Amino acid sequence: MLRKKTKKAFMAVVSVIFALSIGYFAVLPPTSAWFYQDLYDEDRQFIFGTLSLDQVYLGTADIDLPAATKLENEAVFGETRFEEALHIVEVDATNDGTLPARVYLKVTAAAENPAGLHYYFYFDDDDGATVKEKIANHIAITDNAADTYTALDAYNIGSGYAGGQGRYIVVPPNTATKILKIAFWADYNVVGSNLENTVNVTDHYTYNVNIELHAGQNSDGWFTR
Amino acid sequence: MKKHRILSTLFICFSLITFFLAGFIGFLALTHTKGYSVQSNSMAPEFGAGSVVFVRSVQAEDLREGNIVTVQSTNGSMVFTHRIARIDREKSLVYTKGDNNPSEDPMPADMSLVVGRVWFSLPLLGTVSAVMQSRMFPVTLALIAMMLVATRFILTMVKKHRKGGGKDAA
Repeated sequence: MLRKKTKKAFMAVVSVIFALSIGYFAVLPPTSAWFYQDLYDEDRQFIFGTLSLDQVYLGTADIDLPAATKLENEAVFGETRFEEALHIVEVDATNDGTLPARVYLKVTAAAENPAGLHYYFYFDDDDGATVKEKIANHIAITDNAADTYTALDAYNIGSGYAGGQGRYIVVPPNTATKILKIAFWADYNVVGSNLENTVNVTDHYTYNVNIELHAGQNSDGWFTR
Repeated sequence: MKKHRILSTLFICFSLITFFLAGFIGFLALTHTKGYSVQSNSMAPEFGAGSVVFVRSVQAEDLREGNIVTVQSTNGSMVFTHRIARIDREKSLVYTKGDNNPSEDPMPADMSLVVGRVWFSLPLLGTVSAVMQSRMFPVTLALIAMMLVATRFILTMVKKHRKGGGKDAA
């Protein structure tokens, strides 16, 4: 009888110690990782919050281009069908957190691709009614294709202290889904003679690419709450 | 007899785990080590969300580039844990960066805000606090309690029914 009572008491003590031990880990304070600098705050406080953005990795995408086009000065070369030759990939980005987030884009070849593929990362509210106008708001579209594409490549790579990480778009917090878009096209100057958009299509280029979108904290400094 | 043996073995295991946990917590207290539950993957692969980092206080002069430190906000309400990218000793500032972040943190921190240096981390332990601090936890707990009560009630009724059936047969 005494042994049974002792055993019960021991079980009770062990249970209490176990509950307290679990309780210790249950109330551990969190170490948050995301914050930004509020430039409106003269004390330059850290503002903490949660960063939540679906990290989307599309894997290998097939960019199907039945026609090539030119990103050149329309007035000089008369290319009026740039928009029609685009293959646009859309990605939904939803930021459920309380802090603004950056979404970086990186595009790499997934296979041995034909030459001449270019891309531009944007979202609908970017200035400019067409993709070409949106591009023109950021880089100079000149009479020289090589110069234009050098500028576009540099723009895609990014600049500033986060340079080399790729172009990014800021997704504000607590918002509805933002649709990010990547416009792909093939440069006529490189593949135009092999790629024709006629009823007698003899060639049809498919580029296999890896599209990686990586979410990170926004450190541009401020946003309006 | 077999059932008794199984129960005894289970209880011994439970006791060992409990005393190990209690001993570990005692060790943390003796070494003045604080634990923090990691909320995100900004320091992956060093440690990820769901881990717990254990931090010991450190003197400012002992901070080095590459140390992983926990820094608190000026009002002490929140902390973050990142790696020191560079140190400006003249201005007493540390510049930090999450290993998995593309760039340094938006602003440096004053050395006085450094809570401590990460001593070690343990994976998965942070999920305990994440689960128990989640909004769904009280609801889940209540549902489990109700299920246990219902199960016990059903088993009792079945047992009573069997006993009553035995009496009738006799």
